[in-house]
Amino acid sequence: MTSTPASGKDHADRPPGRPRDPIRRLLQHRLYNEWFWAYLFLLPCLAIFVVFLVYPAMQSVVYSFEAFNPLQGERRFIGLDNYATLFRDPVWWTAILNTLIFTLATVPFSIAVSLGIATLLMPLHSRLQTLFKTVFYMPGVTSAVVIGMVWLWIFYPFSEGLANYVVESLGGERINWLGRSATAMPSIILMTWLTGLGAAIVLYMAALGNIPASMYEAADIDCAGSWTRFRKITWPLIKPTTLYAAIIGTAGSFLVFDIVYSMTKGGPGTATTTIVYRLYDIAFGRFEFGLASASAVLLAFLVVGFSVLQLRFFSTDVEY
Amino acid sequence: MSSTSLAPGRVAGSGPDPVGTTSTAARVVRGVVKVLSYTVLVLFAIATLIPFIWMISTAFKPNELSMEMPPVFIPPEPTLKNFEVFFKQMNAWRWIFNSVVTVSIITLGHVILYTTAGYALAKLSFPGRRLVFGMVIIALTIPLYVIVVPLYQMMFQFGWMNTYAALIIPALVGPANLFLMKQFMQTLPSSLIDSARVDACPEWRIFLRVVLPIAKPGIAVLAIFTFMGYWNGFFWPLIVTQTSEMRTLTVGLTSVRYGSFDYGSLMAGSLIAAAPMFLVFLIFQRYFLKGLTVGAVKG
Repeated sequence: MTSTPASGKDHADRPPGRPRDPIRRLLQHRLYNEWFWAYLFLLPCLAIFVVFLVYPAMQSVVYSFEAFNPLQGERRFIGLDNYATLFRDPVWWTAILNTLIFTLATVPFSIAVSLGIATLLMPLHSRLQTLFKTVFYMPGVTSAVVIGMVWLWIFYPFSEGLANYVVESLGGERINWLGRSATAMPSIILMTWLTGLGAAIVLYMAALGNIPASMYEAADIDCAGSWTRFRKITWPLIKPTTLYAAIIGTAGSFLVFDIVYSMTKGGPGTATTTIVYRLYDIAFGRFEFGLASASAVLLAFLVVGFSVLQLRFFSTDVEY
Repeated sequence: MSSTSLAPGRVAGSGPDPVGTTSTAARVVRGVVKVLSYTVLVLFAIATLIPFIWMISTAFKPNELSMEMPPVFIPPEPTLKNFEVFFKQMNAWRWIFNSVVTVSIITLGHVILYTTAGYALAKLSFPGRRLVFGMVIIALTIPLYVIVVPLYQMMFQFGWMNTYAALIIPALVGPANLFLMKQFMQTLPSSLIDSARVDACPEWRIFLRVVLPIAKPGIAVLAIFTFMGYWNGFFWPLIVTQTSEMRTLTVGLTSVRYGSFDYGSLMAGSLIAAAPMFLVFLIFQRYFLKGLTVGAVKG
């Protein structure tokens, strides 16, 4: 703004800070300038949000009240029928149940084990810590599709798979891991246990490193045992991290899709059909957009509801 | 803010043990605990690494060996044949090209959009700032899956189906990145910005000359995580691509899986999909580990 040539005669010796043109004067005023740039900086990003996030989110709600099948060119208002259909659909309930099982089997495990591993890592030399962190976080930078691909070999139904090799060398009978309803979901859970901990371990190590040593010194003076130290010092102080890991983990588990798609396609039968997989199937397998949107709306409520519940549960005695 | 940064050197959990250091029994117990904890850590590390080691070794070994048990981890005669097959049979080059181009543009877009917007939210005062930030928080909670049907329909109406536009433009939405950048920009010293203002430096130049240089670490975290997220991304490209030519690498890989069960070339493809991320991770590890904790910062 300062270098713009002013119009006409006043450009050489105008009084300082007093341009003639009222609009330019407005713009040159520091505060207005700040507003102007703030809006300019935010505009592209907000425009994209509105078009590709807010508008589709509202559309989702609208669609959920419609019979909308783009393949048949059908689109009409049917009120709550889609929701009623979902509530009567046994597969939808199976999908919710499967998602809940997956979430309950993976999130608490991940929190407990990553806290345990982080605790074991803390006394190590920092080089070793970094080495272990790198190893544990490796699956975190790898596409779920690639991980699924490799684990298909581990869960190969015959003796050539690693999991069956281990089972058979321990004297057990080989298992059709992903091919049977009873074992498919547990197999996916097992795989998640062994590939999904990296981020939580890193988070917990940061949190544990932040606990002031003086706290433990005080506990030592009082001769507090390790369990008491953990209960009274560590656990309360790392609670925000636990809360964060629980919320992020739950949201992620509720939305599990990539791994299901690349490993089992929801099968066998509906044994690994999760909410998002069901949504995908309704939307892009059968092109029932109305019904799919109704499940999307319910999914949104579930995700938000669970986060709020956890916030309540964990934040009862946390000081922020 | 700085209190949550990783400080591997200072270890609090291993506080001194003033009472039991002298007795031998205590020393034995501590030795046993140490051995046990190393065992657990090493076992868990092996369990994490074996799938990757198998992937790499299978990519380089002849197919006859790929299903050998116990697994052959170091092939006696490494071969590149699997890569040849992968590149010959499929549209592999095109998938790699698609992934590189779309993900690079998306990352660049995120960096531009969210450094500017994050800076505005964190450091500029303007009416409606709280409102905008509140909207961002709400937007954060909306998962892609919830809006995917209308978004798909929109791509259809725009005529973007099966084009780069569909792969790139909706992917520019990233409320999480805006949140991350806002949090990061808040940690930058306001005094620098204010002194530039006193010197009558225009706002855009303050942003380019003062803010951007000191925001580099934050931008690096943003760029790395965005690149990784979309490189590994699967659901959206799966839906909006219809022909093999438009697929990204991850979507292409899953489409192969049902065609053949030739593990060698599948693992070669998987390795190609995973290797760039391994490299980026190993090079920029510091940023990765730092970036993970940014979101967890309270306040």
